Amino acid sequence: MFVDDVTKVYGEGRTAVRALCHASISLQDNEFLALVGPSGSGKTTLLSVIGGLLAPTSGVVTIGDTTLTDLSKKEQTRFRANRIGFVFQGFNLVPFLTAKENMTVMASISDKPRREIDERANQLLEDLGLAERSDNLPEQLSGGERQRVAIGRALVTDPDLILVDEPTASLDTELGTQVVKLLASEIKSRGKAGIMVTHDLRMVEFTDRTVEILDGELLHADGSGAAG
Amino acid sequence: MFIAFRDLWRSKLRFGLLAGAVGLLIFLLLFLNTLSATLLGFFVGAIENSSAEVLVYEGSARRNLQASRLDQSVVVDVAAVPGVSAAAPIGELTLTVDVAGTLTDLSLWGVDLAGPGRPDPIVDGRAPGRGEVVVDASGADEGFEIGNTITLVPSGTELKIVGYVEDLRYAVLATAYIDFDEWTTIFESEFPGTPFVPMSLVGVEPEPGEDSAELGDRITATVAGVEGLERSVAAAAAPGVASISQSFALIIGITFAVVVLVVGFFFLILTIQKLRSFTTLRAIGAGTGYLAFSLVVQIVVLVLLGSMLATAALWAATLGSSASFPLSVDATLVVAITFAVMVFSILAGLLSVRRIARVEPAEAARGGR
Amino acid sequence: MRIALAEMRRRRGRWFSIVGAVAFIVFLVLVLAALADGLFIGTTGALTTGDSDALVYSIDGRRSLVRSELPVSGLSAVANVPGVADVGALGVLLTTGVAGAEPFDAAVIGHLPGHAGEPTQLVDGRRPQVGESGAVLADASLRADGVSLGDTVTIVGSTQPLQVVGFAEDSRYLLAHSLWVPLETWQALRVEVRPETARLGAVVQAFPFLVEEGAALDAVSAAIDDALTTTETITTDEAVLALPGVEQQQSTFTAIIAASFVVVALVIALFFALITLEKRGQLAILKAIGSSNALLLQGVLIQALIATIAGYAGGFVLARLLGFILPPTVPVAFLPATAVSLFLATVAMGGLGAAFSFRRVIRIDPASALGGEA
Repeated sequence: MFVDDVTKVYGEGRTAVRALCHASISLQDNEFLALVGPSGSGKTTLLSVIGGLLAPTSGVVTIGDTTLTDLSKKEQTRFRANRIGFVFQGFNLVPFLTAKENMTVMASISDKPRREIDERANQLLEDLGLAERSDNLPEQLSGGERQRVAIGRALVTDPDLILVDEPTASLDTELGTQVVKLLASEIKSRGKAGIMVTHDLRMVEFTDRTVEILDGELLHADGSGAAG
Repeated sequence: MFIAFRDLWRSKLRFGLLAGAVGLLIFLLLFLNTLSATLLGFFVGAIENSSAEVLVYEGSARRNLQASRLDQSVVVDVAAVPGVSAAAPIGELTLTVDVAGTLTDLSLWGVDLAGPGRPDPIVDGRAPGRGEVVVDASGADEGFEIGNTITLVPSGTELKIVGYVEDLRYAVLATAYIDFDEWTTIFESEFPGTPFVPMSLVGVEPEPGEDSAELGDRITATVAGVEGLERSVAAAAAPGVASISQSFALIIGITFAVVVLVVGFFFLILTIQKLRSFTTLRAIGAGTGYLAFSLVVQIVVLVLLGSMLATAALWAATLGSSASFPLSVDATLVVAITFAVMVFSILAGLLSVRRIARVEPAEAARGGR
Repeated sequence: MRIALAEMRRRRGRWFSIVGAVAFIVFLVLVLAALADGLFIGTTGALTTGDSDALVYSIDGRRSLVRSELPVSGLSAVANVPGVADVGALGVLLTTGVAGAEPFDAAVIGHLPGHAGEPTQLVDGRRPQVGESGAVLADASLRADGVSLGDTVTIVGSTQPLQVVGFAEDSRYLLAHSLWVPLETWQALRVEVRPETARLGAVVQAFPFLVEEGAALDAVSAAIDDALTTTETITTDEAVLALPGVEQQQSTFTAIIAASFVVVALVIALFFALITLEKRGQLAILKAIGSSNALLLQGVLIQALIATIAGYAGGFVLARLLGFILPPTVPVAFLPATAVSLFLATVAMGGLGAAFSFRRVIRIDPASALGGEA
């Protein structure tokens, strides 16, 4: 995945807000990237641009052999359904679908065969410790459980790129660690790429690389692991 | 109140759509009311709005004008009843006439032009003299205009139209009023050799202070073979009127109920949608009373807005009205209906309040969005 | 589709409310239409129930059944016109009838039993025979007033008692209960009750007739008028409209029904537009996880379809129930054509409303689903 000189500006002239400024990143398969920065630094905006949810004011995003920014909205949506797994900051589960249905809904939305999605969903429910709660509605689940359902939904289509926005925000350390470990293993074992936005520096040890972002600009850090 | 208006303003489209729906339903109510009043007026206006407050029918006719035939001597008997200030003969005859080149039906009423039953008030033109009639203004489209001449078929008798009255139509036919003696002559020429000319009714004017209903009963009891009725009772008893007025009452009643229920349902649905915001509000201390009040305010605004839209639509409809299909915007009716809809909609909206009351404020503190 | 159905299943209360609202709106229009149709039949049944293609009136009568006068002798002249398969006679007398103690508005209709114009919908008993004086076929609406087979009915002003030998459906005239008697009985009654008509002699008011298979109605009508010279022949439909008050009534009710249809259609459309608008948040989420617009539109339309069909069914049932409990003075008739067209309109408008709102909704940026911090 390549992000090439992406700028995102909201508004015009004097009231213009530069959410992203000439940001560039590249990501390989099997790489798990941590995107670290304070509130308002543009992390979510960058993630949205990468996921095709936001169109950049200028710049190009390429995922695999597809130039995402060249695709029509419809094509971007389809791309997102099939090849990207997005875990939102607010989880955004569909309130009237059960935990399992929130995952299997991807069968209707993506082009993947239903049986495959179903099997993946069952497996993920196990792996995420949600097997007992699979028939519960979001309102009946704790914050941590909802978080895990959101992650399950992102993984169920076996996407090439996984984008995660603050996954550990409402989880205790043990659960948080478990979840990030799961993400890392998914990425590694299946050769996917992933970006995790977080301000929890304890989680950085599970990633391959850390990139800092501040006021819309990226500061690259080298090496893996230790906070720096 | 503040929340109510902010909420309304924030979701203009939503409330606009809702106001539109309510407005349409209120329009329907207004339209139906207007039409039913007009149609009934066309059937029995001549009876309901007669200048004779009490009408005396032949007893065995059972309140059916067509079947009521009285000998003219009955007028004297009725006049003698205490409480009767004046009594006059009234005769009704339906005939074919030629007016402005076309053949049409006419209901011709022979009345004492100075007594009860006379066409009153004459809104345009003047009272008829010999060989002249006044007509109900709704017949203008059919050729019954001031200045035109009506030719009776087949006798050829000519009558000139010299004035208009309003709301005095009978049996949906064009209606005209003429002096009773002339009417008698016309009857005889339509039915030569008839043994006697039956009059249909005796029109009665009660003494000041007399109750019409009581006077009617007294006449019934005193004079043999007759039944005295208050004119509104007589109108209601005319053939077909019961069916039509009950049908309309039903139509209007149901429409009203539907308007109220729809508003209630709408608000229930919207409330359930906004439960989260309500929860937050409850959590920060807003009482159920305050939230209920906000809801009431919204309903009031909604119904008022809908009513304005309805009135505008009704006014637009009046542009298409004509003498034979008169429509008008009755301010009293608009106000009455708006008020009624508002009251009942608020009651229906209270269902939503119950839902709000059941919300647990603690919900707001729970995690997730 | 699954998503849409799942939502309806899980949010039952809400969807019941929606179905309920649609049901009431549909109920309104169905009842209005039934009342209009009922009033029409109650007013014109006497002419529509007779199996006739056209009726012969006297020119002077100017299409008015009550004004028209035709000598009975004209019957054979009409029968002899080529193309006429059968001819009957009609005479109407509006007066008051009494059955038991209760008076009622009556239309005494003289006719030729066995010929065109006689009531076709016999529901009980039998028809009077030709020349059988004192026998009457009453409109079935009298049964609600407590009149049964064998009862005696008298006409105010007449001494002749009439015995009810049968009941016919939908044969009323101007909302009065019709009493169908043989022609001679009618003529005798008329002279008794309206002595001024004695001078007219043996007259009737119209000759209803049927044309032979393959004959052109226009041609036959013209031939009849030529042969009799003093007549005007008009089709049964035209005659029905010429009945007093019918045209006015019809135009009033047409206006009412048209207005209601339009209002109801728009209300339903607005309703579903509103509901779809409410779903913005939910639709944004689904779009964010990659759902296509087509899929979401399909879901919204399916919900609208189910809700309008269920709502219509509910409204229909309610309307029929109301029809059963209404008093006989309020005439109602539920005609299939009306029911079907309203059904189609309801479903169509629900779909249109949902689709209209949907257009607005899909312009929403899926990024709005993100929430949180930028």
